[in-house]
Amino acid sequence: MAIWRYDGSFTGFLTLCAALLSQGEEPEEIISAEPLQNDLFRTIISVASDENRGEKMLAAIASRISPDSCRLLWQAFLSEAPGVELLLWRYLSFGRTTGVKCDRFLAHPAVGPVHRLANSVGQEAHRLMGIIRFQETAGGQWYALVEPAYQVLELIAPHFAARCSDMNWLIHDRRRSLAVAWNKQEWRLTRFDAQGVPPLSADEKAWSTIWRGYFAAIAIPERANLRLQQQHLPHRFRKYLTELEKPPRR
Amino acid sequence: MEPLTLDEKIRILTESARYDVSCSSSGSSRSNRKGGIGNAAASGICHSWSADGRCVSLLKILLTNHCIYDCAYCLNRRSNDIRRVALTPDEVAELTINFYRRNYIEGLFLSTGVVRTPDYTMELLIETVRKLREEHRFNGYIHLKLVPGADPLLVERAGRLVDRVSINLELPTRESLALLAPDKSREAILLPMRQVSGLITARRDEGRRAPPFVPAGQSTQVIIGASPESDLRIMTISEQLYQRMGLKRVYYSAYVPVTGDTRLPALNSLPLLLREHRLYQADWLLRFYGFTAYELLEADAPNLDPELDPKTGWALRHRQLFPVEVNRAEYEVLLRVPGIGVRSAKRIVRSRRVQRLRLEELARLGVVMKRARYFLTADGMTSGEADLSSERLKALLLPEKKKRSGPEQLSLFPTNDSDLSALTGEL
Ligand code: SF4
Repeated sequence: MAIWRYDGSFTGFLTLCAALLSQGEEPEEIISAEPLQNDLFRTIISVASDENRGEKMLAAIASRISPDSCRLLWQAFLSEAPGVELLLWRYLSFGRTTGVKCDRFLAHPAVGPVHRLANSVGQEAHRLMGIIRFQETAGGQWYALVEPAYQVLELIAPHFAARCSDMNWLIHDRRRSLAVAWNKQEWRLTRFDAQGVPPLSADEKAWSTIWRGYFAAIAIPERANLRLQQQHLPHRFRKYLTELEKPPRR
Repeated sequence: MEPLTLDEKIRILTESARYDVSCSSSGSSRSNRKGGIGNAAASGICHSWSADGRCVSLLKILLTNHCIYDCAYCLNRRSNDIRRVALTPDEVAELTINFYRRNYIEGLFLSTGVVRTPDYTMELLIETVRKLREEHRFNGYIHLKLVPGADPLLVERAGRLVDRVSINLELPTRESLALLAPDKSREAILLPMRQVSGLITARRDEGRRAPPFVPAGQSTQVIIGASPESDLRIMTISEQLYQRMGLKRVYYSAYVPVTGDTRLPALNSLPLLLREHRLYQADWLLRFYGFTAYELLEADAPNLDPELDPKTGWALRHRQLFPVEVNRAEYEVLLRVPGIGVRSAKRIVRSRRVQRLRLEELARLGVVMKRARYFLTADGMTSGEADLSSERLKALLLPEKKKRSGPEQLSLFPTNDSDLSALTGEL
């Protein structure tokens, strides 16, 4: 058995799976980063990402297992969880033996964990759809800054493309130096390294002030429950929510 | 009096609107039009959580807090000495659009006090949503309050513009309504509700192409604890609203003593919050678990047990039906096992087609074994303690008492819509 290496992209991973299958190999480990020193004595097989092979692999998964499985694998892949590649590979191997019934084996160790990962990623994406905040820039564009736990930009882009189709917007994942941008026609994922928030439009401050006032007024004081609020809004989200900023000191 | 700024007006009209509990934006799916702004996502999206722990999904606001009526439980009642303000339809439309573009909200929930006449008020509401839909090309979610006593033609026009309408039942019975909301008749509330229900049914027969009519259905709200009705009485009313009027949701609002009106009980609101929570659980069991009001409650025990959730309570009264074998029991039967929710029941049904389930696997399917273990077998196995007495079993099932009891315990009990999903796996 060997260590198999790919470029970290989903296409790269699919290409790698295709290579494993065609050679009938079982990987000991699947990595995307530079191998460690002591790995020098083990065999490392690098597979170059191949759009065409990746597509074919995806089509094969859709027909041999199910179209839902493609989505499931992609979503679980976006978790970037350590060891996720091997987990997905085991799911694929198992799926080849069961075919379309694969996802009924929810209690099976090759299936359950993949579903759980995909669920967590889906939840993060869903949560982000709510707590992203766009700010209007001086140039009339809309900018949002986030640091999600998983790489979910591509999962949320279609939602915002439909919802805010008449706005030029950009959602910046600072943690991964990535962004999705929409130009009223199509969205694309790009590297994005900018630091700091761009200059904002003249109205932006007034609207965020009104929003903060609204937010404070909507809570029923007789039912105050900060712990419940905390439970729903963990700290990692708070810094992007204008309504939760501490009011400026007088 | 000094004129108020826009910020201040919004604050006042929000404070007046906040006691209306419904805030969900789910159940509609409306796609954006070219050049327009907004869509309605099918599953509810929360944009924030306020300091009372509730999900903020909609801009919930009144057009005005002027009111010609005098409902005892309401902050805006005519006899209450408060500052009166109003926003124009244009101001509300602008506010909605600007909140929406910033992704602060999923849509608008617009209500109002009654000015001049019900018709005049209804027209103002309609003008606001018309501006949003036509001038601002807004396709996001809109929930509009209907004004009791408004003309049926206005009710119909409103329904063509928005996603959801609601008219609050306010008090569970005619008698309580007469006492606490003397200006509103039961008919003025039920007639529009029935009309909307009829129009929704008619719309369903017209086929996909016809223009939509309240695609997210209608809901209502009942205030509990301001009048003497039992839980059984309230649940049978909800049951009828679901079955006969096809309502999407009934919301229960524990009465918050906002006014010193002598028609009302002076209350310590804590036990009421727990009662409200139990009613939501029972309501959930009506809608998704196939229970009826008379299964959950009986004439000689007409109130929900504050100590146990209603499903566990029911199971304890029907121990002869348990244990249930998870590899054989029908879906409907699985749903009645404490600790198995809609999702875990579905997972059980799905996975047992391909493998025999054993106890170890159930937790992985989302079954809460802490509770379920007393009520099921898996491949003939139980996890011990089969012949417990009902008292002993009840003691085991009671939630562990927190060291500091009191309001904090309630934090486990979310009460608004999008949060209730947390309960599905747990009941
Ligand atoms: S009609 Fe509505 S706003 Fe007016 S007092 Fe009654 S509940 Fe309050």
